[in-house]
Amino acid sequence: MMWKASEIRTLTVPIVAVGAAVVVPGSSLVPMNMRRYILQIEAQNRFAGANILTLSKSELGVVTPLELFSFTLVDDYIPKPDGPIKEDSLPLYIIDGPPTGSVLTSFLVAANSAAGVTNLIVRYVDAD
Amino acid sequence: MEAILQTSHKDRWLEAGWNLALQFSEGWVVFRIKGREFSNMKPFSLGAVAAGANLAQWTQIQDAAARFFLMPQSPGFIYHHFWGITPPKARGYIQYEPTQDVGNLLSLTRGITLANGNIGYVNGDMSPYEGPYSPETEIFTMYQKYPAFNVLNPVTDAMANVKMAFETMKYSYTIVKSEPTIKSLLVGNQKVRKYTMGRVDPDAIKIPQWLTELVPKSLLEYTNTVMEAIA
Repeated sequence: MMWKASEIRTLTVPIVAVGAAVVVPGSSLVPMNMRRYILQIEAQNRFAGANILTLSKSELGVVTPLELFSFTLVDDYIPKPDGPIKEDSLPLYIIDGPPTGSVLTSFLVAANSAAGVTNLIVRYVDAD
Repeated sequence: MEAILQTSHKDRWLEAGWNLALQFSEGWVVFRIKGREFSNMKPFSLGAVAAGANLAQWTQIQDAAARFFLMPQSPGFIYHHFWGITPPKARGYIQYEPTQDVGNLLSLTRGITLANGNIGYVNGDMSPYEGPYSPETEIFTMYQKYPAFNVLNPVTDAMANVKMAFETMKYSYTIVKSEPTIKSLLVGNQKVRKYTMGRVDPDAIKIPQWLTELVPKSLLEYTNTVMEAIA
């Protein structure tokens, strides 16, 4: 796959959920018959202490953890990968969208381990 | 991306002295190109398209005074267009002429919604806004004959501004009326570009009235006999 700059979408959102995972605020559903290619994730801890951000995918009703971002201190920042996305970057994760006629949906979910906020940036492309 | 692996649309422009055969429902008309001039329109903004939605109305690519950009303003010219679209997932559908769906497979009325819009479109991956444009986007237009477009946003995010880009070559022409020449152009080895105006199913678009005054009906019928291997 080759990505065009004009189709890369950026989701920038604070994650406030603790414990139970919730839909990542502002993230849209993966379109029907498409896949969401997640190219880059940046996470930063806003909590004054240790915190773990769990990022998962809910794919047609099945929730699968994708990644744990473990922070020690406030403002700890984890980019993955570090550096700009290239037009031939391999995706970190792929979320399958629903087939024609399905009532099921696919989307990102997240939660914190501590009572604080993390900031999350996800760059992705929805493609066939 | 598909188009990038193929030849550039610019290789499909016609040169002066080349021949162009256009198929109408009544028969073929053969033109010889006398001269050409480039033009383009980039961007043509279609505006915002909500997630999973299409345009409320088909657009005929007009200016504020309802003049058709894609149509020659007089009978003396033929326009040759290619187009691209952005964002890459925006699906462009064409009618040529308006209300006549081009690219349909099954139904009489082609769907352009999220539920039924998987047939007969060109999106920005197939024909990128920045080019090169897909051969499927090739359109020849003449006076009183112009296309219409609609767009579907198949993703779950709104598209803030769907834009099309058009590259155009304007040709002056003369009409070929010699029957032996027409026959050798239609079924022989001479260099000619053949193009069906609109669609083959159920039929090409009708010849414009002004052109019927320049091309005798008998000549149109002759082209049909040539194509049907009778003449």
